[in-house]
Amino acid sequence: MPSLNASLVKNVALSNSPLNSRGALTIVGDNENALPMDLLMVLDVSGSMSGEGERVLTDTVIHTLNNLLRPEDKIAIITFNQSANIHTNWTGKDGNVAPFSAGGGTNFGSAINETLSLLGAHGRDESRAGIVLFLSDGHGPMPNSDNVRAITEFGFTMHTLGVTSERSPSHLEQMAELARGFYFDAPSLNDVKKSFQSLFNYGKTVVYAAPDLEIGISDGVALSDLVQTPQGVKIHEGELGPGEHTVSLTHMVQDSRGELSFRVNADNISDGDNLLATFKCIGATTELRVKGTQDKTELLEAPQNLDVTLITRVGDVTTLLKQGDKDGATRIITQIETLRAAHPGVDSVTKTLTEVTKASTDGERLETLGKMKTTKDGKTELRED
Amino acid sequence: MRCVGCGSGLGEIDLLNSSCQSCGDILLPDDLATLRREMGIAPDAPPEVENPVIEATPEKVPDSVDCPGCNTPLMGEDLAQWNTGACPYCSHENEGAAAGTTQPEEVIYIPDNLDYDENENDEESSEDFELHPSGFLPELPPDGDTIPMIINVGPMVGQSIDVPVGVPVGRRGLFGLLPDPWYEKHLKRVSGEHFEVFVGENEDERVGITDLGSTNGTYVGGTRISGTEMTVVSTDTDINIGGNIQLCSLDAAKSTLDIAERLASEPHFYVTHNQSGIRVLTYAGVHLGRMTEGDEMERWAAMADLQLRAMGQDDSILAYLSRRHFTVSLGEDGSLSLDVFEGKEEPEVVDEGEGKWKINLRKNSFTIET
Repeated sequence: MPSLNASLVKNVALSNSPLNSRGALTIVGDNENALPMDLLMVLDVSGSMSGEGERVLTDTVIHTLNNLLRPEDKIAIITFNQSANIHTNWTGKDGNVAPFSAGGGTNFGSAINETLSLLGAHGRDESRAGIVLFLSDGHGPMPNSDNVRAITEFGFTMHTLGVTSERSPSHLEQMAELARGFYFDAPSLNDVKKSFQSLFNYGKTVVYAAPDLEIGISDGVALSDLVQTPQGVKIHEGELGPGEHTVSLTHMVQDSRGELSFRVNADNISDGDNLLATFKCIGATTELRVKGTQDKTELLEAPQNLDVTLITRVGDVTTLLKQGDKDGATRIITQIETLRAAHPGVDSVTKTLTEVTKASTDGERLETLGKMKTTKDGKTELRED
Repeated sequence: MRCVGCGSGLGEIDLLNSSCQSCGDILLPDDLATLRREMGIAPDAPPEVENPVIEATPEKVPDSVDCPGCNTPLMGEDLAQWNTGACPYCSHENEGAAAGTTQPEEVIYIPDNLDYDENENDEESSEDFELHPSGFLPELPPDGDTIPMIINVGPMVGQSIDVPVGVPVGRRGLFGLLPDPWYEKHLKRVSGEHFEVFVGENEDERVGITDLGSTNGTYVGGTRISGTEMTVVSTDTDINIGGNIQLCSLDAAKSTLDIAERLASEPHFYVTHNQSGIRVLTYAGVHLGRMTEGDEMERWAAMADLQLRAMGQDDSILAYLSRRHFTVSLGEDGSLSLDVFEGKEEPEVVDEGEGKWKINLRKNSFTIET
């Protein structure tokens, strides 16, 4: 069973008054056996992909079948232009894939609908890692957000691949975030092949497939700005009030720690123990509690939880980086650096975040963000897919 | 004090909960310390860091010569036989024995915290050179091209030296260029053939540097370089040779600056960061926080950080200085003047007389000398 831990920045707070603070949840899995993979490719075969684009799609898919798929893995392919079709139904590494033919307009909505239809027929299987790879140049209207988000209900996460030098990462990145996936930037045909390889290698390290997180929130308490770090994936828009909620997280991969940062608003903190929220994930449970007191000495002397400080600050940085605010992000990275003497994880996180800020294009920055991970011992690094 | 996140004023309840009660943002330890001071609350005790106790005594490296015939290390009586005639094992004749010019390897006392580089390949005789205080034979720059570089550390800080171009430069070469005894222990970390500098044929081509497989490394802009590829060095880039030999590449035009003349005509003083040994020359004054107004690392802090890391010492002590902390300058009457930024911790100043002051601030201390 995984180990869950939820904490506020301080485990004591001034009683008989409201509290506005930040907290973090960490999830450390106990399963290090990679799951078999179900890979669903959703490929844009509109007019912009004709010619060399068709050839690279065929070559790359054949390479995937011949060299990347393991005997236990499965693959299916959906192609779309103004409409979407199942090009290849679920098959193993010995399956045949017909060549692609490009032409027509681009309709992301129909591609997502066809994806949900195929996944609905497939059903949810938590013993397998579901990966959707959505490849396009990104020039299409944004599909319905709820439909994109629904992909995670089948245990799949959707990753998007922006292709051609004219790619537009904006919608693709939003779609990836809604479906708990990451954006890959592939301006050249060689980059497309690399991204396929990278995504495949990522898929082969999944140990928990898009796990659900159940959050029970006490009366008078609200959680907001739920961000999975260090990738900066927004887990929920707006505020979660009292009651039971379920959200999906990204896949958890080998040797990694899941992290969630959030804001906490409590109408009133009572004297003594206060239960603010309960978290359940992959069979494990933890509680977010705070002790209310009027003793100012106790409040002043209570140590700050620097893990929480670091996780929430990283969430702030990655959110700004996704918005393209490099200056704002750099300011917070500099603030994080002041914790160097007190927290051993600061060096690796500031080094990695600084690397992200150096990305020369939006696409490269978003891709590098998606490759960030926190190891079980709290170090931040870039996945080497 | 205001919250960095939302700009609202911070008060006692924010301090007690360690977070801004308007926006919820966490207050970092530096912010909390400032807020405590503003509210007249005693500062939180800093984390205790135990300094290592170094009890090792200097180890004497015995005299030794490798026989060129059989490669046997010759020591003691064997070395005496070699010095008077031939190798006792293979009878390889010592050609220098008759002339009496054979020198045993110099005896070096290794400081506790230094890695001595034993890659010494020097063959020149001592006839043409004056002996350096350290006992090493200094090597003068060879005839040929040189490039001016400015010294960034130690008593010769600010002075320009001519570094040979296109030939290996090592410990002895630098001894010739850095004659002050202060550099002696630091030069022991420099290999016999440590680095080589290249310059393009055209004047506007940039300078490059290659590390020649040195033991303690060559750093350019804080990054250790390796391999045979040349690393391009821009003007004003910091170069660190083996630990605490800091040079800075210089535009050729700047080398005409007569630093001695400026030192004679302008008031100036030296600031030493005692933990790293970094010593800088300043004319108008110096900011002793970590960052410049332009949010870049202060030059002295970058050098100190690099030095502490290169010497394997605790570089986190610099974090005890705020980004913008205090400036030091000298008044016309020669008195020391400190200007501490608002809300920042006041350092302790000790006047040691004769134009010398010590400034203490947590784990850092500075010595100011006129």
